Amino acid sequence: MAEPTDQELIAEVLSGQTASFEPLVVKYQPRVFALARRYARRETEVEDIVQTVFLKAFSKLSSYKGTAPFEHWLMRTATYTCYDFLRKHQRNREWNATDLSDEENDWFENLGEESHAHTNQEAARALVDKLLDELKPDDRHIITLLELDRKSIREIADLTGLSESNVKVKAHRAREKMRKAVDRLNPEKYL
Amino acid sequence: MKESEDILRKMLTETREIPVDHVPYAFEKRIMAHIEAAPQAAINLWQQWSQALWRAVVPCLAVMILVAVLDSPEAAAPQPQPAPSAPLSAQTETTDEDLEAIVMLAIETPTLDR
Repeated sequence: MAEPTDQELIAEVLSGQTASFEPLVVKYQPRVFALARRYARRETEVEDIVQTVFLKAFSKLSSYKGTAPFEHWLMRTATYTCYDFLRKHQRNREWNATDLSDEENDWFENLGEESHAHTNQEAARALVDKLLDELKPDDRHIITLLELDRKSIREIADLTGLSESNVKVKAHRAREKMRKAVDRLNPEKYL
Repeated sequence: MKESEDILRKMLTETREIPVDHVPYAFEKRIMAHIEAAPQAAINLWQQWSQALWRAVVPCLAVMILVAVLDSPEAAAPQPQPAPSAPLSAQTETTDEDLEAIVMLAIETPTLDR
């Protein structure tokens, strides 16, 4: 027997069969988790974001018109929720080379070596988090979608409601700021 | 500048390669538990409200009966007569005399003019 489509499951949920929402959660939760982990560091925060996304999706399911795939509608809700999280947890902290952990220092030191690839991706992630901390929430939102989630300029414009040229300008400015922060964090430059 | 750009690109590439789509065990059950609990919470609110209303019925009835009992002897007692009847009649008499004086004065006034 063929599995029910998203549209069939949604129709069932809207007719009162709440349990039909579970297959939708199972199907899309890896994608929502992947997006949430780009925005939040702690696993508890990530889980809270994902939970909020699905609860919002469930409560607003009647507003889904079915003109676009359910995944697009859900990911748009997820993107808004992640942006809300950024605004509520705005850090705006400026980091320096002296703030780096041993692993992060090692990452910079081993940069030129052949064996560098895949050596310490977690250190790279921690460094990227530090760079992102210095950005304003809307710039961080755009650079996260562009550089980490690999969305196109057009997709980001659709998701954020900004014009494509505005997205490009914000992304360029944010990237420039990150590049300057790399100079500040790099222990080689500091010494 | 080129160097920092390369470092940034490397950092971003390595971050992207970290798998981020893993899901905690039975996470969907947690979502479904929240979804099923939400309407339940709404029903519970109505239940609590109706229980509170039913509980209020007995004290309300008691107060109503008490007020009715306290009010009934007063209702049975004779109504006091209106006291200001005497002064009112005196006032009426005075008014009649005044009126008579005014009429008399009006009759006599033309003779005075002459």
